[in-house]
Amino acid sequence: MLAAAAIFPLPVHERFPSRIEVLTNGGRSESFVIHWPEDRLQLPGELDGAAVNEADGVAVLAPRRRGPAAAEAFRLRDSEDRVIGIASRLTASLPGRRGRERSASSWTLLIPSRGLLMLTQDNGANVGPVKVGGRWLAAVDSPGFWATGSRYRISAGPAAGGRGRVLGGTGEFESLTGEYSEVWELEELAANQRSEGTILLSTVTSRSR
Amino acid sequence: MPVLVAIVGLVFGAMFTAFTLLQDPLNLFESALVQPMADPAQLVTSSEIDRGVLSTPAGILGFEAAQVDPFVDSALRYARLEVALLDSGDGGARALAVKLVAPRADNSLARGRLVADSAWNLIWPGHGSVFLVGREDYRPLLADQVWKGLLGSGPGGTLQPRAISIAPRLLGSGGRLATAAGSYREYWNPDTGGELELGLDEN
Repeated sequence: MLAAAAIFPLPVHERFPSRIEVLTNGGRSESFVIHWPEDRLQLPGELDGAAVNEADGVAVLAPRRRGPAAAEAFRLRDSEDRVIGIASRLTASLPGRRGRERSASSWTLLIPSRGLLMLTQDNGANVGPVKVGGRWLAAVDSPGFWATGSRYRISAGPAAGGRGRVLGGTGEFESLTGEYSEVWELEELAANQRSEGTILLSTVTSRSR
Repeated sequence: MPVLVAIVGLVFGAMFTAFTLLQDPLNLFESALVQPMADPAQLVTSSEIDRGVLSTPAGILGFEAAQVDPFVDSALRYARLEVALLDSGDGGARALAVKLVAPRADNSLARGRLVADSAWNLIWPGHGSVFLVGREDYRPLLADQVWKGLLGSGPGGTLQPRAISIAPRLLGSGGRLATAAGSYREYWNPDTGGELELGLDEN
């Protein structure tokens, strides 16, 4: 019985070599990549129809007297474009330090062979879902979103230099804190506003004491 | 006669080993170390989207590897994503939540270790957000299901609600909850599925 328990093949996730750069002034740098729309996990509107609507791949909670909150999920890639995990993003308007509401996002990165990493930031632009003709659209596919450029830095604080904050995580990411930046880069925009592009999450972390 | 003694010895040995692996008697004292939370909110899932492997002993044992895209990738075949609406039940605002789960690489049946990393991210639009991280222990659930299989539905053979959280903690928060402190506990309920108990001290 003990021998059978010892050799029972429990599930193990494949681990790819981590693409981490050690920085000269301390800490480590690691970047994660997401391609939309191919990495987007479809989230069909199975949630309560009265309050949650289905956007294209985005679950939206739209309370009556508040702005919407949106959940998105993606496959997560390393800097060599290998799929290494799953990333989820929650976006909503939240009160800031002086009570004024601003768009904020939080990311949870799950790399099953390594652990979980959690990130939070204020957004430089409203990247929440947009309602067009009674239908919710992801910001990247909403009319006019790419009118002023093809590369947007989304992070706008709360860390210095307008960077987001790495809160920590589990496994290999236990006790790692630091900063990150989120950049959206448009690669193709179709006539119907459907877009293709890349989200780049660049983290700089160090072991907190 | 010696053969009979050997067979009886083997059967009792196997039963004792199975009991030790499933119940882990050394850990029976752990429950005394769990700190109760002051005035926790009971958050119940009102609707949910699931993707990937089920959060059950069978899923964590690898019997239910995901067969559908995108979880067929070898790096995330046994992972799980949940997007849920959470209700406090007292008419308060609902939260949009995402949960990510993956079994740990150092699991071992011989050591009675059947654990998954898990993380919750909850957001109340216009109010605040919280990040929760911890681990989930599936060994008690596996033991319950084995005993239920052996004993049927009689006394001791029914599935009971179980607290599955190990070392749960509030990793961070935002908005009006930015200075909150607290913790959480998650239950697996055979009738209702998962339940989240969240204790926040909003300073």
